[in-house]
Amino acid sequence: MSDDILGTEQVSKVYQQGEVKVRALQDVSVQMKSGEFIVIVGPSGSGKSTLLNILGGMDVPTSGRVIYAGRSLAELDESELTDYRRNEIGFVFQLYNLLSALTARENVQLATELVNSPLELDEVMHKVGLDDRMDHFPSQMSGGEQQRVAIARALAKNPGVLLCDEPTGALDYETGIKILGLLRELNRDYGTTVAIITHNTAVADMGDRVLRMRSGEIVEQRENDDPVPAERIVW
Amino acid sequence: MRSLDRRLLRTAAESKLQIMAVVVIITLALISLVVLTNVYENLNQSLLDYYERQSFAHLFAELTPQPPEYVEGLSSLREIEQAEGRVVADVRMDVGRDIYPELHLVGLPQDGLLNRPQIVEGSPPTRGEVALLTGFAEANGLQVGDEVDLIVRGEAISVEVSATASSPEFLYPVTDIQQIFAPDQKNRGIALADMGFAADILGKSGQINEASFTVAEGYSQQDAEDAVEDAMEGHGLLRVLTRDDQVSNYSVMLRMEQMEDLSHSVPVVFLAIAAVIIYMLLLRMVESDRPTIGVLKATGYTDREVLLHYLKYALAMGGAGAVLGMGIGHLLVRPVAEFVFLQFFDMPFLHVQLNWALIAVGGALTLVFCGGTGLLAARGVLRIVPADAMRPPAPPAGKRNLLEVYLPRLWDGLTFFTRLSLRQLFRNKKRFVLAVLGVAFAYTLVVLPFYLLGIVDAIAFEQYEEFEVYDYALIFDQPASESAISELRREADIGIMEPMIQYPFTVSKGWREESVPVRALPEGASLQRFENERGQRVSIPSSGILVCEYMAGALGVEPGDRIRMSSQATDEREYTVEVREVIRQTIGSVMYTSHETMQKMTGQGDAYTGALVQSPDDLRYRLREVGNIGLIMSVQQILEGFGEMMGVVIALCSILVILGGVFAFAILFNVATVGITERVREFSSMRVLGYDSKAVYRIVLHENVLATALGLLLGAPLGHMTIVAVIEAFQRTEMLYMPVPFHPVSHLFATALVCAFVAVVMGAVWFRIKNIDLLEALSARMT
Repeated sequence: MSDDILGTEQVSKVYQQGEVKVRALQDVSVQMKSGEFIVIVGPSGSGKSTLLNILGGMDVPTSGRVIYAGRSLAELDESELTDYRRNEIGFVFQLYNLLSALTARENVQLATELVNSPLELDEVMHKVGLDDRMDHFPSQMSGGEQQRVAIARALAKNPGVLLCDEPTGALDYETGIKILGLLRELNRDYGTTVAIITHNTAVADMGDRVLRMRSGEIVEQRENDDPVPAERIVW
Repeated sequence: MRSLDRRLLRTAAESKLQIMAVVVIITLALISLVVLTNVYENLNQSLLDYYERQSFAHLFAELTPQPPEYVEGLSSLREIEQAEGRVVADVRMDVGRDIYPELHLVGLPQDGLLNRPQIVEGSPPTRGEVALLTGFAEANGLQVGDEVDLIVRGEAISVEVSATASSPEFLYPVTDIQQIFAPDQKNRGIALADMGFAADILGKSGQINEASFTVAEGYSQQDAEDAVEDAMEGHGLLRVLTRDDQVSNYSVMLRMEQMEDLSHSVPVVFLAIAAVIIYMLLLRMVESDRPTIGVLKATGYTDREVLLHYLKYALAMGGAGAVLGMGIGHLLVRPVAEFVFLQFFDMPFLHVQLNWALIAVGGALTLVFCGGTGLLAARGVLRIVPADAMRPPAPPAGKRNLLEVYLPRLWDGLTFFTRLSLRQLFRNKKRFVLAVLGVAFAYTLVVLPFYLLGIVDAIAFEQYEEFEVYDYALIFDQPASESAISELRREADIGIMEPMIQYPFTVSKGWREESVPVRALPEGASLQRFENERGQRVSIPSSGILVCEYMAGALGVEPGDRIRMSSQATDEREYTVEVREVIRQTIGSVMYTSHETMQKMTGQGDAYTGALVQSPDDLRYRLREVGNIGLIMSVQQILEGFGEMMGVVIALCSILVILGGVFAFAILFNVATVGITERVREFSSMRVLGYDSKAVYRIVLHENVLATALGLLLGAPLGHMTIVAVIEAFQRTEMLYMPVPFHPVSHLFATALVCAFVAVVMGAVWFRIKNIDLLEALSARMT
């Protein structure tokens, strides 16, 4: 394992929801190393998605710091934060969030057009196993295929970190396993740091490192010396 | 093409009807801009060229008969460049029909400098000849070389038609403001003759009775008018008219002004409506695209890029409409200009030169309206935080509404569905206000043309059926005594005949001064009635004067004020007279007094200049041979002219109603469908709970009925205010003073039409609600 690439220091997040204050994160400190495959598990409402959004520069903490490659995100202005999301981070969402009016290829192009040194589009599509579905619209694809497009879209920018929010949450078991396998393979082949958040504790076994969250706090953090291949995970 | 641009094209297809509506409206806006502006500019330029080429005078003076040298001397005034005398009289012409058409005969000097006619066919008239204006010749089937009789003071004088011609003085072929709406080319014509010949047959040999002038460089028409009035005061001057007040030029300019006003207002109205629809379209798009915006921002697109993506919709619609509109508009300029030209003006040439600068103006206007609105609607993009956008929007905070708090009993008495609808309205006030404004705006758009339809009718029939209830007005060549009038009445077997005395006066109050005809009628006059501003009947006062609304405004007088009056008929002696009432008068501006008051001022006892007559017979036929009658004005003839014009007005107003209707419908439809699209998930949830489509529809129906009712309540005063503003801005002049009564019928029609639109829109809403795919609406997170 190499140096720290992305992390938080004492990050808290409080939401104002109507007249109620919701404490989503409380003094969370976490470090992600370059090339690491990290799994963050926890039940609904434990603060996983909030942490991921803050790590990805999609949301700002109420207190604490987010550090990327030694630089605090708080120092970045709006346009630098956009550059950060554009060049350093790739997002994969539970419900894919593809643009329905664009084909698979065009959804990926949406990302490659943004950055200076994207990965080769055909190569990425091949890697996610969608060579023959490139000109299909999302409505013509299965959930697994749509998630592959979403992963290809995130990966094609050649980001430093891939943040995946419940990437298998909307998929059946078989497809979910394949997607996890794909993420692991990409992590290995491209050296991209991958963070997966999930409520599925079985997935934790495949991470290099596992963080367990509850009620906005990290309650356990452990290294996994013998990560399990995706195909051996059962839930 | 970039991926986002591809998305733009594909998602545009989903709203193709609305987008097409916007593009069509922008196209119409640009067509109207290009066509109206080009037509206006070309007609105006052609007109000015024609006036210049034919030396159309700036000033006209009516005189008692004078030697020609008298007028020529006036050219020495420094304010005057050229002065020229002429002989003018109203005669009649025997064209082989029972009725002799009235003919305005203008005797011009040979080689005259001013108001030169342009010969269309034939040669300039010499002794024994006349040139006829083309429209009159055509309407009566007269050709060059025909022999016709002029009827002058009851005598027939044979003349030959030497030419057909046009004249800068009679581009719009009327000589009297009463004909302004309906020139009757068959029964009222204009003939030009040699001045010497005209003077001889009119019994004015060696004399002139009119003069025309051009203004010297560096002086205004007003300077010249003042100078001429000063120089001629007490020397036979009856009245001075500037070019602006000359009837034909006034009519032409009125139409020019209307066209210029239209060229400014119509494109802006169209663009404003397009802007409203774009605003609603983009607002909805941004709201329903929240997750997409979140993805784009999460992927690394900047706020500017995402904003530009939505702005491109507005700009693309504007661009498409602008290109189409300007293309079609430029093709239409020439045919429309020629049509308008032929329709209204008797002018021998028309220059058409396209104003290419309008492309820049049109482009800039479209950019401002579409781009500005797009920016306004899409700026919500900036507020969307990517992390929030990925979550469904938080429900708006629920709280008790005003009815619940202040009128709990009323609230409790409402049905469940009404309460549900009201809660929605209070929760989404912006949408509700938009719907109310949409209905009010739609109402305003359709009530105006309905009102115009009603009011044109009112102008003609109120004036001639309510107030001027005579059948004919006779104008004598020379003042006649009461006994001569009685004799005429007996000989012609006329029922009621009321003698009148009419002279032009200069009337002033303080620093304000106006020239106005004053008509004296017998005290118990029954053939002309009057009504004050409050709608009460008023009769001719034994002393004092009745002042029409326009003049009251121009002089700043009200009942009880005293005004100063003088005239050539009073040998320029000034009299002070009390204003007894301000009366309503739509066409023309005249003041009324009694015979006694007029006779005191003029010092002439038994001398009447005309008479009002009530007779079922056709006096134009019966009196055609009688001498001393210069003009027989038939009210029936005027009303027939109005009838013909009404056809054109109805057609124009119908187009306005249809246009207003299309816009109104577009606005209401968009407001309603945007509302439904925003609430598809909510309605689907209700359906899943067990409510059927009808129940959901009932909620929307409640909301729309309330919005419509409030919109109509707001629309009625708004519509009336718009009508008043439009009429006051465009239709309040000395020549024409349009009333603005509350016209319930137009409001009734507008209400019915808007309700019909709402009903159609609700039909569309029903189909939309009925066809909601529950599963898709509830589960779809695909953006």
